[in-house]
Amino acid sequence: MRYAFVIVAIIALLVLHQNYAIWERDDLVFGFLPYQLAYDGALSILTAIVWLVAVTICWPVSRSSDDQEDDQAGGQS
Amino acid sequence: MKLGVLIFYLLILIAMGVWSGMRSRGTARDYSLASQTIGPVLLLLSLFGTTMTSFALVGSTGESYVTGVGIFGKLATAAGIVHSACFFIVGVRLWKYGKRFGFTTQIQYFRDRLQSDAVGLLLFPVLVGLVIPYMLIGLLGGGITIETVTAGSFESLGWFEGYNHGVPAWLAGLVISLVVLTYVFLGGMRGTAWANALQTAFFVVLASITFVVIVNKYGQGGAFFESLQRLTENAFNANPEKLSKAPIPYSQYAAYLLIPLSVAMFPHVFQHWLTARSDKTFKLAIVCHPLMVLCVWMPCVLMGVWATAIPVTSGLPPDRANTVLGTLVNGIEAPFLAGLLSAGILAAIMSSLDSQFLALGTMFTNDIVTHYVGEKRFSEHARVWIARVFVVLVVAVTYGVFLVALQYRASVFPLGTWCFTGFTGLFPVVFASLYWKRFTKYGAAASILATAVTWLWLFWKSDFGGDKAYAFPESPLAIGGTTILPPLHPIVTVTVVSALAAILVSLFTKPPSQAVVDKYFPSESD
Repeated sequence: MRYAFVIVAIIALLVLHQNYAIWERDDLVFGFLPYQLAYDGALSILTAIVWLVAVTICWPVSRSSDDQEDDQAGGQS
Repeated sequence: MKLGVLIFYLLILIAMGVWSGMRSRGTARDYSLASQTIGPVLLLLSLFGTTMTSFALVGSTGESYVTGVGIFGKLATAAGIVHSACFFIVGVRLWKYGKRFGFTTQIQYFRDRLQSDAVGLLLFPVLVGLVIPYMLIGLLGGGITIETVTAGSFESLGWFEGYNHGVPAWLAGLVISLVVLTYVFLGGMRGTAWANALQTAFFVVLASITFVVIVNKYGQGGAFFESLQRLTENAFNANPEKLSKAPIPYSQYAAYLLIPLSVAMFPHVFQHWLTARSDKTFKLAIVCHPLMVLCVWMPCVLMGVWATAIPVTSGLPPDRANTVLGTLVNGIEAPFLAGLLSAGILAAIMSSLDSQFLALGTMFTNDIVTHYVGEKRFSEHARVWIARVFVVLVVAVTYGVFLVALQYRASVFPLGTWCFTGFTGLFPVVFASLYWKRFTKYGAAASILATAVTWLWLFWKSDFGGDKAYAFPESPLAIGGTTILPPLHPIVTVTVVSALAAILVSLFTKPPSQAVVDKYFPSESD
């Protein structure tokens, strides 16, 4: 169930990505940005939002003792 | 001036390698994985820098020039969706196993998960065989761009007349290889991660600066926004179809969704995943990766389509598409800026090359030498030096292949897609190993072999990549006048055959032992 949101979200993003209804559109947004680029750019931003929700509510790994040790060590890089 | 800026930039990278080498803990694990101390920002920048090569800058601009703005959705948006999915679904789980069981390479993981040495032996040449052409993408893109951008630099000296008095691609490739080799050799993964972070920040900023400067230069004066509009209008008047997705067939656009799945099987990305300090380190990369792809690809794709109507580039034939960005930059006539922009392009290229060199060196050391000779026969210090020697050998071989590819004027874009096709074909192996308890070593071996054989066969059928539009089946399969299977990009065939081999052979062979299942699929509370 934890992955249900992730699976549904990925499918939704892929469906939006394959939007053939707008295939031939060549008009401009703001007078300079091709519609196709505006659409796909907006989809990239939506993708980031979806992943933000996913990592917030569906994080797959439980906090292990290894991580706690690392956090205590400060984890310099 | 241009050369001075480039040389200064390369010296900074070498200094970074020296500094990282001084911070090394002297262990093999520190050399290969920076002792798993990498935090979220560094992981984001190094993963992004690693996955974005000259394919993203030089290739995207060139491909937009040839087929139009649809290339952004076809590759960049798809990468934003699928790369983050791979980080989330594959990367985090592999990190967990790597951390828990002490793996450094993919093959160590597969050997243990599948309890088979043979699978590792089978996978090793396939991965090495695919990483080498991937590195060529970087060297070819970098070499050709530097040759184009530095044209005229040696005119007063009369040098390199056959290369328009610029730095020849073979020499640029050699310098790139030696600089990357130096900081990887000295700094290992720590040097690579820091160099990647610097280079990623550098090329993202410079991609934006390039965009602004090119708009001002080629936008025929006036306000910035008016220049933007004029450039797009000119492109629209010259080639209206390139502002839509009309030049891209539906089936090809759909098939390209499979390309970014390749990231899940890149050995160098696996190694970067394992450097993470904790599982939470991944979160920033998962969320921000699509935005960073957007920031780099959008300006490049716009510049590519504008170039179809800009006089200095509009006459370039499609097989010279790799030179579009370099030609635009060279036309700016501001040597300092052109030098900086060239360094930005180099940064994108080298931030992938370094990880690939290191990954291959690590694989030879861990998967061949210490695995077969015996880990205990080498001290930590000796293992670091073995990895370094292998890095040098890998660089030498790659440079040799690069010289051959230059002779044949190999194009960056098709080379990239064939390379990614092979890695995507291996995706079923890593996915099944992580999520399917019933997945067997025979299923894995069958899937790897199926990928290798199908890939080689289709590559041969495509005239070794020469037929850029090659699709399989070569003509539509129809029943009673109804098309049931249109010609598809070879990646579809390779992936489907690989997945079927993994599933069918696993179902008909002995399942993994209960001990392995318990180890890799513990209850939720574990």
